[in-house]
Amino acid sequence: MKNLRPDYYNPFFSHIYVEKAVRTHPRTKRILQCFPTAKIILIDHYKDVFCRKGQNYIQQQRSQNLILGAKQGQLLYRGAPVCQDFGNHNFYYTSCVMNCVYDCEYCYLKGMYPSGNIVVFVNLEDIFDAVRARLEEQSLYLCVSYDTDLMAMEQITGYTGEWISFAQAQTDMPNRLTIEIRTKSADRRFWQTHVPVPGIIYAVTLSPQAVIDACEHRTPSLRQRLASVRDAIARGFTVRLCFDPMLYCKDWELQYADLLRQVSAEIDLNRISDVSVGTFRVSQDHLKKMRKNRPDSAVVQFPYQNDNGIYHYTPALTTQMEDFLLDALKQKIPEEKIFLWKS
Amino acid sequence: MIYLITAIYAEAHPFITRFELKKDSSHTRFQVFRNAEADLCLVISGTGAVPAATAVSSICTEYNAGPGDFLLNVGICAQISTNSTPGHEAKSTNACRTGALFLCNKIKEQVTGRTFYPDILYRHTFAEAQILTGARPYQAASLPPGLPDNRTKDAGFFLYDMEAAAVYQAGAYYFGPHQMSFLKVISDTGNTGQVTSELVEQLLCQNMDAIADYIATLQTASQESGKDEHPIHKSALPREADQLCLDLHCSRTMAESVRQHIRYWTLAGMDYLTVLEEMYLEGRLPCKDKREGKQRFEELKARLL
Repeated sequence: MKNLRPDYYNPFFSHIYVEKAVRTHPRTKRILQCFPTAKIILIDHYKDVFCRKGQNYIQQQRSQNLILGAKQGQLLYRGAPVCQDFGNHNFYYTSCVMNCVYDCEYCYLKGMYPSGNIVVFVNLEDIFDAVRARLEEQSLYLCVSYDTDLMAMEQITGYTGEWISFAQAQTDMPNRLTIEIRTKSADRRFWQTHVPVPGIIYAVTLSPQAVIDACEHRTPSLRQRLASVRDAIARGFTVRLCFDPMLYCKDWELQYADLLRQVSAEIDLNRISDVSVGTFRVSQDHLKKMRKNRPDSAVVQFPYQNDNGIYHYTPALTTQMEDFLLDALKQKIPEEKIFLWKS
Repeated sequence: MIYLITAIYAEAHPFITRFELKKDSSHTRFQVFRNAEADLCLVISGTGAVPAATAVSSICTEYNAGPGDFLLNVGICAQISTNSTPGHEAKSTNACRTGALFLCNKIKEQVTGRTFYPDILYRHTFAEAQILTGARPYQAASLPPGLPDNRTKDAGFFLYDMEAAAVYQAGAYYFGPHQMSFLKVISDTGNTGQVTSELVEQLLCQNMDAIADYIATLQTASQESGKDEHPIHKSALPREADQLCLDLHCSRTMAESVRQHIRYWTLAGMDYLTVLEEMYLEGRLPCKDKREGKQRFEELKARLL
């Protein structure tokens, strides 16, 4: 991780806010053990800190703090229309962590959440119960790493491992649960300490190194991500490659051609589960806040076109970018393995 | 600007001396002291919630406080020592930490039970504590109701004052939680009769180096925040944007689109000015009407994207 903090900022997770109701929860204790010098501040409800008025997302991201709480109310959500469902009908997502240790300029979380701090819900069992109840009615395609990067926080939370154990335990309902874990993490230790489990898909987002340098702050380099994917495949994990979001830059054709060249040089594409392709799109409400938060970000200030509340590139540019990548991918991967997001 | 709020003159005097603050006699309702060079402004509010909130509001409106500014509430407080639950007699097992300085990470308003959490983003050397803001001076005889939860690492005592919660709430109209800090020095354990002006000044003076270091940090953060601000945000857009909108005969919607494009071209480092110059030289700009303006704008976009 690159250290972007001038030295007057507190270190990450110097303060941990803990809901009184979960202060003795085993997961709370385990997480707190990772930060023996952190100041612990007891709170009534995570929203007392996370939803305060006038917070500065960008400043808080320079000295992120943790908030530990319990998730109440709705635990499963229908997948949003801007998300790729990979042909699954019962497409749901859940948020056991809100916000991310990475700092991607174009990330919708910057427009969705009022705070740059990270909320970890420790009552995973309640979410598991909700998933189990839904599984009794129908099969489920569940994304568990949408509003965060779960694998990037694995050393702190261990939640990816917990989802794997949960999926493994559903022996009475085989093939009914598919879990997608979206990540930019490149922690290769993970593949050594876990085993492949049917129904778990690791969806790794890949971007040209120029895009990573410009927009995906604190994330692993392309080379690191590819090395991690290579390890995962070698150990039999199911891996999906996500060229999503594709981002426009002046020399995007060159950048994405180079990205594909590196991907095919490093990875045996025959062993990839599937591939997703999609150009950048975001809801108008989120982009409005993102533009206010990041007036200096080119990717956020791009003059997108607004159709029915969704900002995206013009149809001509969208088609041009998608076709470019699809044509290149089709030469390397069977077409049925390529999923293109369409509105 | 760093806005310093103290309740009484004895708390303010060490700052006035240290930072060579000069009285701004244009203010008649509150005593205000300033050092424009150091970008510091100190206001003495008077004791209690209403004076504190009024002083914050008055000074922040006067100087148009906003992003890049900081609010620092400094003063004395009482120490409430207890290992018992609220409503019971205080135990006197914890020695009074008179003179100890704390940065407050949690502020509870006794009257309403509301709690406020200033962000602690910047490095500091202080111990941290929770504070309870009450309407009356703390009397040691019994514990005030509404104590913060004490089951933290630093359990056993809390701070008590009469302004912090009000300063936070009034400050929240002008600042975010990352811009407000609350520094409190313990002066007593409820025996307020023994707290003299001399003692208050002495307690503040003995902590002044640490406080001055923290103010220096805030000043750096304030300057950096000014630097962080991209020119495109500061001065809106270059003059060319307005001229181009005129020459394209833009409607309001189209003008907004033109400005957004210019904002992006600037950030992406695209040389749109050269392209514009070419279009003016070719006689393609200015346009004769709105219809032609739309065509030229599309042409400009096509040349740049």
